[in-house]
Amino acid sequence: MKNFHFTLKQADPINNDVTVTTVVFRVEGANLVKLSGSFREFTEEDFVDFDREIGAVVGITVNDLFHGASSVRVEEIAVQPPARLLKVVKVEKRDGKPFFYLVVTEVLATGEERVLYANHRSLRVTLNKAVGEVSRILGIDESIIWNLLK
Amino acid sequence: MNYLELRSASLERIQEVAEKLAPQLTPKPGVDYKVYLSVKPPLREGEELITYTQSVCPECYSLLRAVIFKRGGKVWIRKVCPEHGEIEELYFGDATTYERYRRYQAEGRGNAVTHVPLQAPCPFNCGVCPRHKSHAALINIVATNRCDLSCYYCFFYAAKAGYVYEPSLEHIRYMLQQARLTEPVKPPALQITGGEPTLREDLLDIIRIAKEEGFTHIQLNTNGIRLAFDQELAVKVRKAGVNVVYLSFDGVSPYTNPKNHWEVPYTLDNLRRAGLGAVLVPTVIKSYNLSDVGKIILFGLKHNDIVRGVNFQPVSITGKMPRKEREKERVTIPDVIAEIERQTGGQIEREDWYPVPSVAPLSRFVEALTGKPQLTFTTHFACGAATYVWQENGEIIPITKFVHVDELLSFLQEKAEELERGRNKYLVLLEAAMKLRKFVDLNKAPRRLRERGKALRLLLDIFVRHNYESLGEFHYNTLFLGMMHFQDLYNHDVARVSRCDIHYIMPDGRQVPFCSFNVIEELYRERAQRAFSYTVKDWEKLTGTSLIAQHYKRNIRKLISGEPYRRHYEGIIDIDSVPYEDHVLASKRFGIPVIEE
Repeated sequence: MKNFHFTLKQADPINNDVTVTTVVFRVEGANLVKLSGSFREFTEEDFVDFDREIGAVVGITVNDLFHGASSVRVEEIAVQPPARLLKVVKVEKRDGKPFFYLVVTEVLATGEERVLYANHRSLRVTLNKAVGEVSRILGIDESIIWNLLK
Repeated sequence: MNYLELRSASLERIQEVAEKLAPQLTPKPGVDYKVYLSVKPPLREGEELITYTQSVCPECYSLLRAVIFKRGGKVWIRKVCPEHGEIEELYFGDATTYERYRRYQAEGRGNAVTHVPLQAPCPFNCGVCPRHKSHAALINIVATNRCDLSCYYCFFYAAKAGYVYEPSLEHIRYMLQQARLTEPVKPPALQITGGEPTLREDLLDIIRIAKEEGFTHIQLNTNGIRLAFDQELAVKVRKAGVNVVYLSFDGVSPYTNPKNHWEVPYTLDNLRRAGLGAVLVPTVIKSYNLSDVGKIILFGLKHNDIVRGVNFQPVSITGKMPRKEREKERVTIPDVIAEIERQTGGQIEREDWYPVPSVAPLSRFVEALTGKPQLTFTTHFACGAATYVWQENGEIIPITKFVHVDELLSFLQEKAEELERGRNKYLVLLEAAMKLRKFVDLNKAPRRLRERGKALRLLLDIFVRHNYESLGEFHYNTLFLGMMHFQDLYNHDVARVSRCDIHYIMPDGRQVPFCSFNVIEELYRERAQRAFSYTVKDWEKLTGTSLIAQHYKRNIRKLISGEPYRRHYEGIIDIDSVPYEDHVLASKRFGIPVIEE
């Protein structure tokens, strides 16, 4: 599984000055266990995955990377299927408070990953509501999720 | 597939076939396109970098890195295909306008529910894919590829394409349901297009289905020929639910508009009788009709009782064309705007135009007030521009002469941000009610909007009371001027495609941005429509008619001698200065035969 960490500064066609990091947690019983992997350079082979992981949720795509000055690192994480994951995507804009996207996925025995929930940018979902929803889907106490967002 | 097998199929069967075919019709890497993103196009002396982006090769569709840069006060795009060399094209005719428009860019928030999984780079994953940045504002549906005209440049109509694409009513229902699939914002507007959609005998059923599937604004895109000769048709389509007719209109003379110059007066009269408004749609080509843009606006203003707007479309070059030939045709938004300024004697200035995403603060304000996701126009700033004008005592009054647009937009943006931070909405509304007047200079407004402070009341209705019926009143006797520059293979920019909000719904259920559908047409429009088509022979056997027999033959003598012709063009062109032979020649050269009674 690929996990993207990056900074981007662009002025065309839109202003962006952001740092984005993603942390992946595996659901184990009523707990969340942080997964880590090894880092490597971002290459052309990663473009479609970047758009799938970041573009679809945060709205920043490979095309934005072309437009601006960026630095992207790819974290390769090994996930043993089947698994339920919580991905916490932290978007820090230079001129604002950080925002968190919460993405719940399910990795099937076949290795296919399905999104079960995301507080997608097009939905007007408060973080409170998103945390409540993630808690309900994963059966994890809300306080555990809030702790991850500190 | 042979469409004979699907023409009477149920919705379920159509869905089954569409879902089976869609993955097969999707562009395939290595087969339909290659990726050469590591090749960086050069910048040369005297050129100033604006940005890098991605584009496609006009020859092989390979995905390329492109550079957008300034040179000589204009904006250009350059890309290098390892197989086909360097391609350079004018991107935007004025660098200052480019920079001004960029300030208004607003980023869309995409769609939480989309049609296809993300498996390929943009623009080879259209469907709509999860990375798309805007939600669709307008859906186009091709009702038929048959046409009653045979314009020389068109390769799309059935007789030339060699097949008939004409989805059944159940198939159209399936497509429209697909188009309404997206969440959280469903497209409200539909354009029924072609070919020539009025050739479909069941057009009224299509309109009815569109209403049933939730579309609240329906446009009919037509050459107006049938509407010119069938008085009842305009009444029928209005009653069925069409809100406005998008009428092709490339110029005011037979030379600049050989497509429908002679019929438009009759079309407009029939629309008048039906109470159905029209938007004139000129495709603007530098060497052909750029000289007419001012007169087209005057024509619109003269018939402002029924013409609601003019939507200029700077040419999108179809097919492959050498650079020298392209330079004769190429015109971009700032070029058309500059010509309008010149041809209207400065009455409509370039500063009167605003790029499409400039209105995003309006949606953001309403969204913050209501808590509901709103339709937001977040196309790329280089895709389109617009303004509103009125005419009073011969003088053209643009909206910017009495509404302080920038200040109003900034105010709405600021209030939206306050609401998003949790400020009490009633306090914001009270403040808006008090301050809106400072954005309107009633003394400079057209008389109709000046009376009893109507302009201000309209703003209050829209922004404070959320009474959108006021928009209808605002539009009455107002001429909307729009500019929409669809791309082509030469100036193609992925940044624009990924923000497109005008989409086509295809027969396999995929929803594709305009500039993928029509620009990479072999991989989208052509491939999908051909897959769901009849052979010409099958269609002719099925209907008992011939495709060619439906082609229109023009009786120019009769048309120009009618009263509507003179009434519509009087004061716009010198009608009597055009010899009959010139009329005939213009029509024939364009590909439309002329008959004598």
